[in-house]
Amino acid sequence: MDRAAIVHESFPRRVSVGDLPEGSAPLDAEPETMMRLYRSQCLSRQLDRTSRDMQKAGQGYYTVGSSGHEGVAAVAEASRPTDMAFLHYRDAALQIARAAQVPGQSPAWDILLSFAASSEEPISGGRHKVPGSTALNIPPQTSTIASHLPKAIGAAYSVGLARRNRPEHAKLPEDAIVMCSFGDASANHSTAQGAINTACWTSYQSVPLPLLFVCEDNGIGISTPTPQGWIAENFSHRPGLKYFTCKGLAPLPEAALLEATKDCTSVLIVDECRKTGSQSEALMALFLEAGRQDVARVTADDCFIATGPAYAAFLPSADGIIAAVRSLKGRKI
Amino acid sequence: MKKTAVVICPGRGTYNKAELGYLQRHHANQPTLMTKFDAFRKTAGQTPISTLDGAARFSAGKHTRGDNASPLIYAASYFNAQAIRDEFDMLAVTGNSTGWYIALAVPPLEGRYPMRLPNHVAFHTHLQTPVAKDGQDLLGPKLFAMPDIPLVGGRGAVWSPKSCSPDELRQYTLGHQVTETYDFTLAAQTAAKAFAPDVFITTGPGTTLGGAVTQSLIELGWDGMKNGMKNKEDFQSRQSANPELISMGRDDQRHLVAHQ
Repeated sequence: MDRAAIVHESFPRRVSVGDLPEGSAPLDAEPETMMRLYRSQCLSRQLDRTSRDMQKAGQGYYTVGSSGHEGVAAVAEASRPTDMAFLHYRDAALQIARAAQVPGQSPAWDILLSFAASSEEPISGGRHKVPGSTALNIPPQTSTIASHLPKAIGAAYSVGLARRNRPEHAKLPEDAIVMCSFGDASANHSTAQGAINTACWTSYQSVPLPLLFVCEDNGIGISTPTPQGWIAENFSHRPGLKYFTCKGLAPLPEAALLEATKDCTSVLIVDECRKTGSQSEALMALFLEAGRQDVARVTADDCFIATGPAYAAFLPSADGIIAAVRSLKGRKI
Repeated sequence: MKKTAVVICPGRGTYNKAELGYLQRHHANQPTLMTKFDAFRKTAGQTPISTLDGAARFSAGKHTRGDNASPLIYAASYFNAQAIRDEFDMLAVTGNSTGWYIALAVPPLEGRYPMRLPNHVAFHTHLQTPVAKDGQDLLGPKLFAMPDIPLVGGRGAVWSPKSCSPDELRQYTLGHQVTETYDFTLAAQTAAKAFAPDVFITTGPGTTLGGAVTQSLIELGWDGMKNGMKNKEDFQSRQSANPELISMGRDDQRHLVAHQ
């Protein structure tokens, strides 16, 4: 039995008996959102299985599985189809989830054409099995050796440039970000290291570079284990780079947050993201549901983490934070 | 194993002379719902549907007028869709223009009748902006529910059960859908590509959508259609060997999918 079949068969078996990994459901996601993500993830997985069936039947010539990478669909939900995405080659779920945000897309059909190496496949003409779509702003990339990171940096840099001098044929909106995903092993390539260094160097000087790197760290590169903590140690203290971890199984360390704040008179959440759909919404819900009344938050105007002079216009200001603290204290006094 | 089907509902202009009596002929077994439709019409001071359908002769002035044609088509198409036998697994519903309103009602049995466009004029253009506004004022959020089976609209968007927003469905239906181009080709092709059904069932009244659906599938290269067929005769012989497009408005095809 091939690996995809083993993974597939264990999924319904474990779900049916409630044998699930540790973790809590995300607090800030609507059921419809979760269902939408699940639908994309199922299609991604089913395409993996179909690609192997097609190969066995002599109808498919190329298989690149996405099993295990389905969680990246959440990045599509958190971004917009106009945020250009340079994808890891196993990120079918992100493309599928993004396709659901743009009418008239047919990701299953397009990806099946790529398995068949069909000349009708829209992004590579059957020459390659690769995520990609013009309508979804996903440039086709060969991502195994991290060659797409420098391109992502160029694209992100162009967003800032275009704000200063809007080109006639600009494609991306002014508030676009660029997203770039890669594996934990690819992060070691000199290409990746050079690119990330360039990103840090640029950002450190307050030159706009709206770029989100997503390292899909499964702890193994083909067959070579990645040392424990290697990615976090490498990237969590880089100048100009804001590092955070996401773990789909435990989006918020709820118990730890409640414990850490239990002796505080009041809690002010300062969120450098926008008001709706941001982490602070989930945090507010967490605290209020735990019975705390003395909670407030200040947020940014947009999810765009601005640098340079734009910083002051978007992010929570010192005055705003002070006012919020005074207001919270006023309630207490 | 059940055969899978995508159901396609027709637009305006499909209830004509040949269709007079369509509801009587095919849906005499729906008296309860028909009575309900009729009662609603009477309350609104409009001619009951059964009276229109049962008229002695067809009157273009009466039967094709928007406020009569839309409910006739709606009822005929809706009853048709309800009559599809259980041996078909309905994967998705789409429609052309008026057919979109019918798609919204399939398969839930009641609740959204009638939705009509007041004038038979420049549908799906900006000229309809005031009509869209009227629709938004008159038709509240309660008329729109989460679909039970996927719907494919005129932008080729798929509205899936449990994962779309009824509010957004309403906004689209009473906004973009009314004032922007309704791309039926894209809707039919997206339904084909996303759901890959065994058969495409077009409901009545009329048979106007058969050609449009076929052309959409040929352009797509559906199941060998692009290379395998050169003309209408090729398509017809393919159909007689294994019907993939079934028109419920045709007496010789209706029995392939409908309850007797």
